Amino acid sequence: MLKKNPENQNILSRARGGIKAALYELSVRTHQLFHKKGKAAKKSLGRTRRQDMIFYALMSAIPILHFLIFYVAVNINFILLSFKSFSLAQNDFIWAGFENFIKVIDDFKGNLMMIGALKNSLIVYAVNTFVGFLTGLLFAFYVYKKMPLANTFRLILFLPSIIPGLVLTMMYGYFVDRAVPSIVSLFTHTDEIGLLSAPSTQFVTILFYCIWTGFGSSVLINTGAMSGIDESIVESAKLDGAKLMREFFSITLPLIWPTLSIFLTVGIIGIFTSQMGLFNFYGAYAPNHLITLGYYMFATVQTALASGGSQAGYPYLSAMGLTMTAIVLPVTLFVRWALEKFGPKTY
Amino acid sequence: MSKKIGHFLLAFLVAVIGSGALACGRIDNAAINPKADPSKTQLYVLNYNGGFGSEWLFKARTRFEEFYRETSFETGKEGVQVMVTPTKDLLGTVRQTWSVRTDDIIFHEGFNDYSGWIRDGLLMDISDVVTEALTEHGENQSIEKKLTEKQKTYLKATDGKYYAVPHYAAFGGLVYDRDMFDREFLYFKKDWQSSVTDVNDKFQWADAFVTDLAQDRSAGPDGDHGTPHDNGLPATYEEFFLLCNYIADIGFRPLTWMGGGYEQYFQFLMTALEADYEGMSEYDTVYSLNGTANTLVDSIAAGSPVGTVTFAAPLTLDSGNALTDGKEMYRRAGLYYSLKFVETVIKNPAWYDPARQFSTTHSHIDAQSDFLYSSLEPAQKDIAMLVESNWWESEISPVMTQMTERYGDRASKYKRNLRYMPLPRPTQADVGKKTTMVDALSAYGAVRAGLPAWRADLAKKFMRFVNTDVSLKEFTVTTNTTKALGYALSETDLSSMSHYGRSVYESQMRSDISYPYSDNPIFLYNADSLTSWSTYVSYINNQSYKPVTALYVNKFSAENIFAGYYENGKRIFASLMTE
Repeated sequence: MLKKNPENQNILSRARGGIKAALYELSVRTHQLFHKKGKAAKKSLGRTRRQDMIFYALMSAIPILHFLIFYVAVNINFILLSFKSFSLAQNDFIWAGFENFIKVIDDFKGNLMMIGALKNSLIVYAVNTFVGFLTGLLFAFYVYKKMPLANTFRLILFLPSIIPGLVLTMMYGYFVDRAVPSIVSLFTHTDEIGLLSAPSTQFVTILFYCIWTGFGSSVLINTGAMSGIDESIVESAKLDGAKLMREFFSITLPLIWPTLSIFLTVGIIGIFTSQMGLFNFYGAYAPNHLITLGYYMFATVQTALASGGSQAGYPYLSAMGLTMTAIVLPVTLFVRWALEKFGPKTY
Repeated sequence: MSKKIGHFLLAFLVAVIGSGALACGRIDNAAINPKADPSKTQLYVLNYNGGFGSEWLFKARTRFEEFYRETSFETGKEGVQVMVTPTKDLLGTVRQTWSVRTDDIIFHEGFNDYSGWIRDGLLMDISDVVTEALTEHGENQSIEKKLTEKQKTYLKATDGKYYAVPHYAAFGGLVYDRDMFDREFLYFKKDWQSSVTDVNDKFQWADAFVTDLAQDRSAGPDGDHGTPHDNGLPATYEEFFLLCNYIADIGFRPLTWMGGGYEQYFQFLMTALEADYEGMSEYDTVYSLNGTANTLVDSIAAGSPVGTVTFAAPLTLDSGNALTDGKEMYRRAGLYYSLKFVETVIKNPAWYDPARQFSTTHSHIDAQSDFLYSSLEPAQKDIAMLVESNWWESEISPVMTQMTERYGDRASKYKRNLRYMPLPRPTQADVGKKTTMVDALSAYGAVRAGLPAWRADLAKKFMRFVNTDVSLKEFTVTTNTTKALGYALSETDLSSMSHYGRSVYESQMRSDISYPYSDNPIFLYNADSLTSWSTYVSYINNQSYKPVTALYVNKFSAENIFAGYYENGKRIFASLMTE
């Protein structure tokens, strides 16, 4: 049986192990702190341990405070805001019941722009999942099997993930709007319009951008998960005559399924928040046929900020966010349940 | 080995990207502000560092510090240091973080919700700053005397007090290269119509233009041959389109604009066209919702160049019917004509570079540079006009300095004859009306509320200082733009400005200046919904469209989009907030 060489563990696995150990240690310390209340226990808490506890308390105070302010408080405020509207008489937000939700539902029923945005959001998810995710998975397997130039490809594919989004958008924009038309013009001898400028090619070009930029992290995480597979299992399968295809479907896929199912579940959550990088490309002026729900909400807030920062429109956006949460939450739970129930299993 | 190379490459990339990111985010504070001197009082000023820049503030700072060099504002300290924070943050972002900022004074644009700032208690009452004569600076008049009646009523509308002073004036429009116009004789000759029987016949186009600069020219948009500034320039949309056709036909490029912001830049132009057509009285009614609207459209027969508009009966708005009939303002002819103008431009790709003009990679600096370089670089097609706003020259100033170093004095902004173009009118019947310009950015200077008395006194002194005639003129000479206050420039001042700066100033002097706001409570409570930008939404088939994108991407006609404006107006007025 082959043993795993620690050096071969990738950074991700090691980081995951480190976080697990730290969390476990933290839970033990917390347990000790709150469950040894007796005098004897207190006395037994030596000076060193007390110092440790202070250290842990201080270290965890900031993230906990951060969590309380920027997650708990923000979300409570967001939920409350969705039931309010702005009152001029009181110059403040007042209770409005379900008024904002009714408007959101009306908009989804009658406003073709919102319906189009919903359609685009679903297309982005579907394409990211079925094209980006599947090809990412296959490519991760290619890298995992150390095929020719695997590491080079991995580096190239991961580059978009370490380049700041705005820079990447700019580079991509220049490529598709300037380089590509110039190259095509060499052959056609006509002036060509860029892929992001021509209305007919804008959506596909941005969709490709989404897949391309998401590809690197998908490959990296999947490769990380695959490298955690015990090589003795693979060796054994090979001795039994399993080919690559069999190895992929019968060993690799079942063993990394927990990672994949997290990917797919998180993807569902992203349906209503993904803005396809549209704000980076178009600012607040993206054409209607491109917008997604995530972009719509982001751009609306940005427009309010640009025009002086009136917050009167925020309750509507909060209600929209909450409505989307109401839709996406059961879907997410269902998908997670389905993936666990019907996904490949290891025995 | 390959692993090491990979690690090296990765480290290199991270270093390059990291340093780039640091450089992007870093403000060289030492160059902006000297180190705080503990023996002096520091005054903190936030300035929106957009197209108008911060150079004007640095100059004012130097004089202010000198003026109050021996004055004590705090016990044990003498003199003052003005610490400037140039920012690119939008006003809404500033507003959200206002409580944790340390700025005493703010100069920013986009105060559409000015009354909201007051209601939220964010700004200090500076009525004394505005109403008391600036005697300490040798002036007998107050800042208030430099304001128009409309500015006064709006600024005091919330509770009768002043909380801000107007800052810069921002005008959208067209810039034209007068050197090129002179060189290529791009001026309409007097009575050109007698030589051209069909404006669509390209073989007749040249007959409309002068053949030497001494030849008599047409009267231009003001219809007056005695005012040479606009003689020979297109007076109507039809003439403008003919000019574009002719320029393209003789091998040049008539127009350029920012591809990445075409919607925004055309909306600026449409605002200018619309206000200029409507005139100040009509345009003000849109925001005051009080007055008679004479330009409401009943129907349009599509056609070239602007179709035929049948006007509806005039509508008088007052407090009784403003809420119910205010929506009618969204079917003003000015809105239609400006759309028709942009539609015609977009439909003629020979007038611009289709590969750039709708590209997200084409920035405002690209457009400005294309325009400026085109006549200097032999390999490039000369560009005759730029869709821009009056701050563009201040914005591109560093590039123009580089150009001067490269091409010599002829590339300097003081030598190049670039000018603000008097806008053409939709039809011949509109030629000769007084020009109206609209200051559309709502830029103000204000003082933070809640400052201690001594600090408030210092901040107020600074606000007064930057609004003296000397400071106002210095601003204009520095930025080649104007402040939104009344002051006259001397010949000496004008001679130190660029041709473009002078042309904007002179246009202002000849025009009525309108502001897209009013003291009507309906407007004050719904400023975000009723601002000029919110007009530019067209609701067609249950969907909201931005007008220029709808023209370019969705291929809607100007008539369709105009009808959609009215539908959007109905929606806006159905959801306005009232007390």
